[in-house]
Amino acid sequence: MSANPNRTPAEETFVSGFAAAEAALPSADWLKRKQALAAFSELGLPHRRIEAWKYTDLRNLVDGAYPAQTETTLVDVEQVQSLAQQSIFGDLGRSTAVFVDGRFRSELSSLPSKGAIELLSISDAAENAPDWLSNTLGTVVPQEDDAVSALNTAYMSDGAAIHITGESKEPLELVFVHSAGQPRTVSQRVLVVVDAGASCELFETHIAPADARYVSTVVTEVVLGDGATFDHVKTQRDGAEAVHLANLHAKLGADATFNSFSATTGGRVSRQQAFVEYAGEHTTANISGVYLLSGTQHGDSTLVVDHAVPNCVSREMFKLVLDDQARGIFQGKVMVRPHAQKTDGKQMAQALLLGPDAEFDSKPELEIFADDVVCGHGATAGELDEELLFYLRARGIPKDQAMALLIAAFVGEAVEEVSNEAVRDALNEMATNWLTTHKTGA
Amino acid sequence: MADLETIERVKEIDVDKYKYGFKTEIESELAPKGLSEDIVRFISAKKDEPEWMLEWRLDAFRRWQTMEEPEWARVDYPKIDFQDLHYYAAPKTTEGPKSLDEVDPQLLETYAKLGIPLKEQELLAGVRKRGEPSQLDDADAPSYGSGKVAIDAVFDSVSVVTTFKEELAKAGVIFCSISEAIKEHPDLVKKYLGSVVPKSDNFYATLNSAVFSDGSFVYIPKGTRCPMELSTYFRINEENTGQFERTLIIADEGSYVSYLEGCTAPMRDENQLHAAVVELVTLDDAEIKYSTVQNWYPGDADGKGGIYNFVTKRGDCRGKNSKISWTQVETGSAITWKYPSCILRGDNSQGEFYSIAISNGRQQVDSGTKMIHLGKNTSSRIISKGISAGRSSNTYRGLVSAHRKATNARNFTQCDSLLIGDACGAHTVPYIEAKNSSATFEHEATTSKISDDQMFYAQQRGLNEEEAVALIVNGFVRDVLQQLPMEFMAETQKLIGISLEGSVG
Repeated sequence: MSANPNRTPAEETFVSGFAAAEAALPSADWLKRKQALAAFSELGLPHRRIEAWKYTDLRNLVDGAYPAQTETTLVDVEQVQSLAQQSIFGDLGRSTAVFVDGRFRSELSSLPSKGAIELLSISDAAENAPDWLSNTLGTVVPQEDDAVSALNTAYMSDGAAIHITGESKEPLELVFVHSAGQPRTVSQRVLVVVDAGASCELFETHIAPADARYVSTVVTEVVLGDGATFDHVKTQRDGAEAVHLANLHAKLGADATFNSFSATTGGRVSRQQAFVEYAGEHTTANISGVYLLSGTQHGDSTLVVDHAVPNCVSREMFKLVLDDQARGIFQGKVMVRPHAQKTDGKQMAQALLLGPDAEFDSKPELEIFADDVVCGHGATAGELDEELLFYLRARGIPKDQAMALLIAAFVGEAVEEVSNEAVRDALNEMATNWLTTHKTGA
Repeated sequence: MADLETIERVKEIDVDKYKYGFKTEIESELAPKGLSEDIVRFISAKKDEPEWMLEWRLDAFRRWQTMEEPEWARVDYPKIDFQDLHYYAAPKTTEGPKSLDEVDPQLLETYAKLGIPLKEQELLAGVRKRGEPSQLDDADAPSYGSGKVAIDAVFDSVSVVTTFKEELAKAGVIFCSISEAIKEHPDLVKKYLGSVVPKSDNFYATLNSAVFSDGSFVYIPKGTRCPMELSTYFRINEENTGQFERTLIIADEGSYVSYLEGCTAPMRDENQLHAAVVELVTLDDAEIKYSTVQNWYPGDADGKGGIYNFVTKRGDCRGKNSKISWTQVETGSAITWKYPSCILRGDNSQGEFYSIAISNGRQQVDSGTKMIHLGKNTSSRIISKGISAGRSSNTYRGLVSAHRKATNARNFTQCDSLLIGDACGAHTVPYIEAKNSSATFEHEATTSKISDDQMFYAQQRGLNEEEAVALIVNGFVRDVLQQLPMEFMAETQKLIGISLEGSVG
């Protein structure tokens, strides 16, 4: 851990600030902070010379020092509540766990009643963690080769550990709220263990005031037992100055169903990665998402789907609407290992470029070592179809409205992947609101 | 009934033998092993080059020394000892016979063994029917038909015979070896050499710039439609020689040329390095169609031997309304590292890339294209068909990018992979970068095996398994086959059958 003159201020702060921060963070051997920090100081922040980060150069994008947030912050409870109330899941019957600047706030949360679902704050449980938590956390995430996961593990201040043992009737929402203040890095962790045959519906909301300057890292580990079902819907509405770095790692048992949808409108920079590994046969994974970006926002979605066993299905569908000079990135890799026969993998990434200087970079990748497979991907980029626009306008629909209709239809195709109808409606409404708050070339 | 013919051809072939594996015993003049400034000077002196060319080579060599071998491609091979290679080999018959009659008979025999001899080429081209006297025999005849093929045969490194040259000269077309062009047309060479693939573009291209031995030079003057297909057969023959071809084709305003490159190489154990550079330039309203059939020795069943093919091919649509079209059929080589690209600089220019890449045994292919849209209203089209069998690895790697000012750029990409057998790999790594909103890019890729239904259908009608596979594969690649000049189509269908031998059952 020698001082490296090539480190950026951000990297230097992360490496040198650890000793002081460690004392204030929840402590337990199984958290493996020191190993993670050693890995991070070796890796540094990813940059464009690293192939997987070609389009998202964090060394460049994380500009300046963002010291780690370790303490509970004193915040205006009303402000936090008003932010939390903006959650699109508000009208759905669900229990909530609210985290403010990386710390669990029980007084703001409404936890589920004991039953099939057990929710712990990682911070509270650190010293006396049940086996399912201490033995699982960190096992789904490869620590050595991903700087974001390493950073998160070194600095995680709190998070949710969820254990589902049966069918949970009520959805659960994790709300991550950030407050304005000094630039900081907030590291949150989520662990979801769904036992065999159990099911879980999880919502995730990230929300903050526009001027809050922070780096938010969220590492989510999901372990699905045989026959388990997991439905995940995330809305990323971080502040306009925020950097959002999220890693989702899932390990899927046999006959399991994994659905993850994300809607992203926030953040100056966001990189959301999903790594899905199949551990059992006849499992289906569906990862989809929508990015609605404007101004100079930078949104990156990177997926790695690892078909390690035969007879599994994967589906990815991403839609990006890019206005002004926004930049959208999609990287999706589908791996089919030797002997993973009868794999069925399909992937689609489409970008709608509204602003003349909007940019879309995509790299859909297939890596296939088995022959009896059906795999495919598609990627498109383009403007709104003039002909469609003309059709609508010829029928008396004003231009703005016609555009909004077409954009809503474009986005709607990805939203269709969400199975819960009420959630679909909420997501479509969120998209419509985004459209009306951004002039769409009118 | 092309498919039936293919099946018959497949039947005829001796399994387990690389048909074109033989070695011709011709004395050749070798440079000492190794690479140094002295060797670069030796090569330049051997070719009697002017001072500026030597300086150009030396500059490239100095830059090459500071470069590192690229490792990003999905290919795996023992490190090449660049000091253990000969960088120059010339057949002793350098005097340059004026017609085929004067050529070393052993050479002609070699071509005959290839199954694609010069005269056979005439047949395939339909210039004459079997039994009729060859037009090559009266090459002095003043007229030339549109179905003719002019061939610049490259045997190892030196252009040995150039046919049809005089007739081309009448049309104003310059078609000669690059060494000749350096002497005869220095202004053109100075102006265009290295203008598409810069001297120090990448590791292999830089090496080529330093030691390139020979290659073809083509210049099509303004408003000229080249009266015949131009063609070069490349051969690597001398043991342990690297082959460093340098091809430069310039299509001046309003001109058109179709260029064919085909090659086979003898069987041997030592891996051979081939690092060619091909540069194409099209000025306003010009078009170049460049077709390749590559069938170098792929190594034996254990992956021993075989050619290393590290090629840099790039076309520059410099003028407005210009067009460059690449068609490639890659069936040979142990390792292929090749990305024929188009820089769409001129407004309204077009780029095309049609590819069939077949890998079998332990072959490794990492190939694709780059379409770089810089001008306005540019369009490109990529059709890539990869077939992997045996224990091979077949990767499509491509880039489509539209610059901020490249308004209304259009691209359509279709990459299909077919897997035969469960021990091979097929990979698709496309990069798509749209930097302005008026770009319209469509990319689609699929990977699958031959469907059981198709096999059942074909076999139920009496075809055996291998015939059925050949039939289905020929259908799979049809879109690309159709882009090949007539002369190459039949040959290619045959090649596809040969390449996939032993891949089923």
